[in-house]
Amino acid sequence: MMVVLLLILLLLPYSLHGAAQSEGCLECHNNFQDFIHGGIACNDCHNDIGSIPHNEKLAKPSCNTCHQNIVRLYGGNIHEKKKITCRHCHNVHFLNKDKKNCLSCHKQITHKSLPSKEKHMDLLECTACHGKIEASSIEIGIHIKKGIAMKKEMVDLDGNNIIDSGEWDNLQTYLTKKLKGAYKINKTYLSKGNVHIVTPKPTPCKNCHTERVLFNDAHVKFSGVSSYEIPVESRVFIPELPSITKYTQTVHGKKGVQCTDCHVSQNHIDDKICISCHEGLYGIYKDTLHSKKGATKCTDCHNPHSIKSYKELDAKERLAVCSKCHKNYIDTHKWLPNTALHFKYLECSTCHSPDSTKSIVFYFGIRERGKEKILDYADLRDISDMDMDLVSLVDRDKNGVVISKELADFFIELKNRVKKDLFIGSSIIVTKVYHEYSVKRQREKVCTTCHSEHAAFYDSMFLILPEKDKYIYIPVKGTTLSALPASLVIDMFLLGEEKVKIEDFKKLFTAGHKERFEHIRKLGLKWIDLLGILLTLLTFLLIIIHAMVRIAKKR
Amino acid sequence: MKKIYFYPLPVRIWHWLNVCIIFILILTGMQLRIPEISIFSQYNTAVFLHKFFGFALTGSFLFWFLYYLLSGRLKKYYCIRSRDITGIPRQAFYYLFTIFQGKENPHPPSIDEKFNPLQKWAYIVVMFFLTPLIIITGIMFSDVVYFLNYIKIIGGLRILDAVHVATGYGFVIYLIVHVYMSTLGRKIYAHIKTMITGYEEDIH
Repeated sequence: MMVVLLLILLLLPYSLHGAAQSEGCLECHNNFQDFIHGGIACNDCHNDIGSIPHNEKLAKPSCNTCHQNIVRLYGGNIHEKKKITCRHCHNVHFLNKDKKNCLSCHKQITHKSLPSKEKHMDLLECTACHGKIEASSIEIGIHIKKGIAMKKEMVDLDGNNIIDSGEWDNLQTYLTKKLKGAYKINKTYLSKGNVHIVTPKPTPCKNCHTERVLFNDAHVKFSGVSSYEIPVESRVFIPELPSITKYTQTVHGKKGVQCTDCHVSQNHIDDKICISCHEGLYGIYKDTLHSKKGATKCTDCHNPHSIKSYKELDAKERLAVCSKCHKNYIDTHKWLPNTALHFKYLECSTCHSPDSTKSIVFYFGIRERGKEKILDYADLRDISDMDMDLVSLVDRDKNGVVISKELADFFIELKNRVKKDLFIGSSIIVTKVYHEYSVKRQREKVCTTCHSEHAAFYDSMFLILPEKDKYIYIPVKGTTLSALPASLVIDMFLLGEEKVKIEDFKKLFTAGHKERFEHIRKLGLKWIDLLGILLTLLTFLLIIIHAMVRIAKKR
Repeated sequence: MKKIYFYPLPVRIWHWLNVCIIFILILTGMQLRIPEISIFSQYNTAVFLHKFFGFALTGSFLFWFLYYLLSGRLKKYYCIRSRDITGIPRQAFYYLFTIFQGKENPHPPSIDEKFNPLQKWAYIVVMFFLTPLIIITGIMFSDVVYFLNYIKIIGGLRILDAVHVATGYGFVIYLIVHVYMSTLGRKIYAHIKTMITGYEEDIH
């Protein structure tokens, strides 16, 4: 109070001086008798008045003369761009009259997409989200009129000088049960910003709900019977949204889909939201039996906050999506030989969505203490001082395709550096999903769909390499599975794989010297069949000769 | 010419049971290896039969081993003697040449020495090497998830498959020779008849 009085006393003479200087003007402009603008005189702004009576047309005063800082800040803002001048909001002659706020213009704001709209709008100023906040805090005042004094140790139970959620709940219970009606709580979210800097795009949810850049400073101020102040963890008042942290790593997050793009209300997300981007996909799914009788909503299967994109989910994670409903999947697949093995390496849609694209993928992993770990970007970076352009390290001829030899060469180089039990892991995954899961399953009981050299995934093989924040899929071509030496380190074998052909036999004899060596290497473990068949035929031949001689000799 | 009770009933039953088991294992194995050879209409039938008869082979092998061990036949027939090494060239020479001249088998089967040197080596390889190897690798294949740690020790599924299939080819080649050799008795069916009746008529 003293400070205010002092200011008034200091400003009074200045204000009177201004008024005194303006007396001449006010003789004619008597409707400006009560003008107020920080005690300045008329000609401080209308400075092109030389004598009275003055010219009829005067130059427009510029606010910039005195308020340079604010005008500078205001420049380039959305309001300035929309040609809203100082006078739109400020009555320059009567500063305390017609005071305007955001709602004066933005009468129709709905904030439809703001979750917990009422809460946010009741507690926060517009600039808390739409402004540049310099300081923010949550001030909780607890005034205890009478009764037991709330000692600090009764509030801060663990004595760490900050109230956590448990202690806050405890305090609430205490107040409601023991001090009925004898206390008063008020909570204020204070944000110090500048109304001249407005951002139409609101501050992201994470600023308060995860990263806590804003409103992280919370205090409880006791008054009345007790009088002291203690900090509170901000998460007590602003709930943590763990999905936000993970969300930035999802495909949605990476592609810049904002929380409010989907969370248009407090209701659960419905398909309409998903369709706004995934219309084509929904078009396939909506008429399928699975959609009509099973998972009717997109979110029945998909968690939009899921940390990985479909391509990055391993077989186990993909299986988890289906097994949420199809819990007895092992029982219903008893007919399948090696049931557990199939489910270890495959996902349901490998068979139940025949139109999906299936691929064999390879990746690098290490085994440590019996556990397997897929090498990620950080691991590869730590392993060595290797140039991190992995793609060109693997694909040496830079033709965009990795062949068995390139894979093996890179593996050997990596193994020498890792000095651990390195392996090339692999699995068969769906790389392009077709959202039709209602195909008659009987047809897919044909094992040779996969257990044959004609299986579609042999034409769609990829090496997955980790990059800083994504995975790259490089096409792999050729007889990778059986060729030496890669076949010895690739942890995959499928019944019915490609076998030797007559051409392989022929090529052994017809190929040139260099080509023949390459062919021999490419044949890899196919040599077992090649030798096996040759020896069997040779045995037959010898026996036939032996038998013919016996017949000739009548023995 | 003497007629001696050469193969007791359990051995004969074991032999012919083994014939069926191995015959089915080879057929199913061929389809498993090359799915285009469609012997059984369903691939999973082939897988099921291969697995079932694989376990049958395990049982029959264990029976043979225990029967031979406990009855002393293992020591009697499979003990390697100097003759089994020195006699190899003569036996080979007989099969390749002198047999056509109508000469006698240099190592005719007798009650104490049932197998000639080449025959003994072939059986040793089959019974003590090929069969156990194909059985062990087959059992590992029967539940890959359960045996995964052991499979990794030997170098992974691909190596397991390589060993199993290579042994399988060994079996096939052995069987072709074995069946042909069974016709080399005094009469074309003599050895086969012995394995049915148990009586060897070739004994001198």
